[in-house]
Amino acid sequence: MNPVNHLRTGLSVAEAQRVVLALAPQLGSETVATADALGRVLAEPVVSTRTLPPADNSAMDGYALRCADLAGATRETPVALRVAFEVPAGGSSPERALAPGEAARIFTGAPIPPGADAVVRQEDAEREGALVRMRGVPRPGENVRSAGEDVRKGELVLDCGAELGPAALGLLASLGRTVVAVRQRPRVAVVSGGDELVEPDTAPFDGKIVSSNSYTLSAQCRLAGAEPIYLGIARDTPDALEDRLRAGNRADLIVSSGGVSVGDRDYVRPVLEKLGCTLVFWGVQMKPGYPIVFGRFGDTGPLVFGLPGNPVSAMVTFEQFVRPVLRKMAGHRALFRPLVRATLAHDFEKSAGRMHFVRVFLEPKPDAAGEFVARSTGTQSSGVLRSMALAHGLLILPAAKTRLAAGERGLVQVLDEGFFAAHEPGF
Amino acid sequence: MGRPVGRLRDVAGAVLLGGSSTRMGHDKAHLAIGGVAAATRIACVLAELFEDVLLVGGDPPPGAPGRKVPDPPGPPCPLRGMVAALAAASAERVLIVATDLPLVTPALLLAIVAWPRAQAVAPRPGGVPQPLCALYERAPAERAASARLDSGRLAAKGLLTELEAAYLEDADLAEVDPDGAALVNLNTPEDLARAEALVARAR
Repeated sequence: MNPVNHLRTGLSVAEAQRVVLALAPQLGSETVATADALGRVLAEPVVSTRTLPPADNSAMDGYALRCADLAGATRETPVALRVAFEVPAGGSSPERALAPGEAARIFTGAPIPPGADAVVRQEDAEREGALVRMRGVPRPGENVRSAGEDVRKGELVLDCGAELGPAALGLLASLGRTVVAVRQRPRVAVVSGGDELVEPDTAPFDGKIVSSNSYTLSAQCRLAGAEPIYLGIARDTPDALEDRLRAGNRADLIVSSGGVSVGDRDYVRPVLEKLGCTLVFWGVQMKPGYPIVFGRFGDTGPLVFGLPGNPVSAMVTFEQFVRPVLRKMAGHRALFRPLVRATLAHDFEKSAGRMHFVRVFLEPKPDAAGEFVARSTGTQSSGVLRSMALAHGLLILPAAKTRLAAGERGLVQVLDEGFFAAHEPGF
Repeated sequence: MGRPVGRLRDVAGAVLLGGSSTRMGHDKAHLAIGGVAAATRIACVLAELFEDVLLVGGDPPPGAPGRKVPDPPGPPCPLRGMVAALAAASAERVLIVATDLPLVTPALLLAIVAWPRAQAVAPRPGGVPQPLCALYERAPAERAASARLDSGRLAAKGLLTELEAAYLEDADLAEVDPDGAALVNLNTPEDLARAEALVARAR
């Protein structure tokens, strides 16, 4: 069902996020090699077909024994046991049980022989020929890894929606799962628009501008877990626009930037109409990025984001709207960038009405571990990519506020988690 | 065949057709730019965006989309047209565009409509407010405009000072009208020539 049949405008950032997420479908699943599944979202519940470890086994190189046999052993009055047999790591379970007064030489990972209830490290034992002397009583279970301590057969190990990190991949491998069902990655058609644009490998003569948005937006797609497909620059003609949009129609989502998006050419709407595109909203009360348009092709076709052409506006609107949508499509549960609260290094001023996103550095706050200071990265013009390239995050100035003063605390949306990275271990 | 793209329902668009122009020597609504009458150009842009389009006063060119709304009795002036538009609209907010602004774009008009709510929202290029390309909350604007009309204070600019108004300044306008062409005013034959050149360039 199409939840909207007329264009909305002037939405707040939060309203616009609700609208785009409500229309974003979750994609289907595909089977991939577990080794290639890093960062993907699990599309099947993984139930263990094995118990891990499959049997009680030794956590140490040492001697398996019965604790009861060592009753009364102390540093001064050791108790000797007869070393009856050896259990190598990787071998099969011992054929015989440990009799009273016996110990078994055992290695890390080797199965605990029946009758034994603890392992004493070889460093704590004194071997003398066929005997081993112990100068203390271990706790039952000491240095024994119990069967099923990691995973039991039939247990839900990883649920749908789990994001696969290195440990999860290892867990799947230990269960013998070399392939796994994951959510498909969204395919995103990236289009730039405007006769003034040239590709980066072309010299920008005659007032032309190098199109950088294809680079930034494609990279943002990859960071969001999506697969960008760059469709090139659409010239300012109806045929060029229709051609690009038709090509994009095979993707899950279309991101365009620049003039083609906003409808400032007479032919844009007729082309969109011809292709069956419904515009859902235009204009979000934010800066940068105010003239953003959002729509979709038919009921099941790709979602379409028309981002402003200014490089920073395009990036900031991508972060607020496209990224959460891509993450929802790919099955992620946490859709939004992390926020940190930071103390402002100087005053930030704005007019009331729109939410502002200010490019800031985040620096550790002196003498306050875990706290940060936010400082502007420089000019905030929506055309200046350099201050965006330097930014660790975007300081959020709420719509109703006109000023946040130095020393106040504000929320920063973290774009570059590198500021957490440390030059020293610190512990 | 595709479904219609979205149009706004809670805002109406109104073109003030006005009367003859002494400086241009013609009725500006009928001046053709790129072969299309000024009023028709504006009405077509409004019809792309709004479900309800009003053609207020004057004599609409044939083919201009929208419903005709007569001016209230009295000598034609923009303020009288504004009162008529505000009274005739069913939507809560009305975007009013004078016929001498034939190059307004959907992007500019949407920017005005999408601006944070106020009793009036107008562009202010170069610090000069444009009350005749502005969005008005119907009830307070109609009250204020009628009072001004009754007391003979006919300057449209004054209306903005009586309302809680918000403005799109140059930096805001640059986001949606980078060429600064959307608010070119047709007052003189030279303006017309400039508008023709801009339309030819955009084609």
